[in-house]
Amino acid sequence: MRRENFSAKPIEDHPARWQDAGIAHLYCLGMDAAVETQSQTGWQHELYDLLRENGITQIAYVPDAGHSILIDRSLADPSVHSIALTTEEEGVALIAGADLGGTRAVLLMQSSGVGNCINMLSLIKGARFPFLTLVSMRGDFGEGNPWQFAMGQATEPVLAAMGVVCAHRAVGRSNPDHERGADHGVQGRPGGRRAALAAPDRRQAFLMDTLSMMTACLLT
Amino acid sequence: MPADVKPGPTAAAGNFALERGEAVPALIGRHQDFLIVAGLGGTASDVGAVTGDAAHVYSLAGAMGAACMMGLGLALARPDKRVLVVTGDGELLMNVGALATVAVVDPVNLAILCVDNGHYGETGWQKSHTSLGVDLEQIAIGCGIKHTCTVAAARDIAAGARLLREGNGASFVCLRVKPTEPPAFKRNFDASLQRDRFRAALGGTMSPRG
Repeated sequence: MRRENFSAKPIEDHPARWQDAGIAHLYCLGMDAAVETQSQTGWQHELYDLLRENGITQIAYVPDAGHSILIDRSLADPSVHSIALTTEEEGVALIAGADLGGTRAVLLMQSSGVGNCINMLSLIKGARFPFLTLVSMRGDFGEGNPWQFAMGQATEPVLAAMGVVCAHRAVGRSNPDHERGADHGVQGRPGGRRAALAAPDRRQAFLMDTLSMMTACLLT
Repeated sequence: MPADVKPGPTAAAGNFALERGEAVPALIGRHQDFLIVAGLGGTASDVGAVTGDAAHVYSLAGAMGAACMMGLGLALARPDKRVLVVTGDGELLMNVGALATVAVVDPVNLAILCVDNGHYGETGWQKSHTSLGVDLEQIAIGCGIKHTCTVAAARDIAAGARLLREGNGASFVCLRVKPTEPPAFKRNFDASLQRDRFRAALGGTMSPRG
């Protein structure tokens, strides 16, 4: 269904910030671009505010359309360091270094980048560094590019294998199974302070609650 | 140098000539002036021989490729301190893109010292790319790091030490040393203990764990 929404409206009619992203990319993020409005992307601004309210001052990323609002906000924010990476594993090490210095950082990446982080997560697990990453999902149901399937399907198992607690917010408007799974994953917190949040989702209240819980657990 | 190590083309030209046990302490100088991130392998021992098992040093023993980016995160977090990354050629080559990221951010208080012996000493002295023509200083320059030098002879050490301490912007020093064993030093492998005491030494909380 979402695929049809995309084909229903040409990409050039979408808000400017999405134009460079490509249809498949927008689609897999659940950004129903044909009907996206400012109010519907408001949750991303709330997400940014939440990160800042929780004292995050280093925002590291490999550019990704799903995180573009967060990235743009970080670039425009003189109170944070906005750090573009060449590969996602750099961000894992950066977060550890930020923690050594007593500050907080977040890593924004696409699911394909999770695979680039595997061994570097040894650092997080071994030293029990606090670690927060937001992962925009590709390669799950409705993906338009089959090259994304392998890593997309492996994202959560890989993170879990390295001790990262995952809360997966599936794309789409209603998926109670995913929601229950996310609840369990966050509240259980078996690994302590490491967490990943697969984003985004329109149900911003749940998203905000999830992230708020994570940041409270991870960062205070 | 192990008997079976055959010098690469650059080594044959005499560029891997300095003794690491002498050159590294000379370049670091007063170590208390830095917060230090040491790479895995020989460089952790290089630093340990200078500092002992100290709270202002975070030594890696895994997560190969992490050192420069840990240094960047630390430098941004503590602009009031000077941060020194001491890494090896093998570790730097594994995540060489970090030099590009460091160059773009260009923190005023970050210095990187690469102890380049052209070999993977921990795994049997296999040649690294720097024995085969790769020049890490040229890579750093190409990435846009403005303050760089290669220390390949005793006469270069003073300038290298100044660059590590006084560079206004990210600085990079490539130290060419013989492929010999690093100083003997019994390393602390407790990554979590190192983290807690590093933070505590900076006046932060030991363990902000909800």
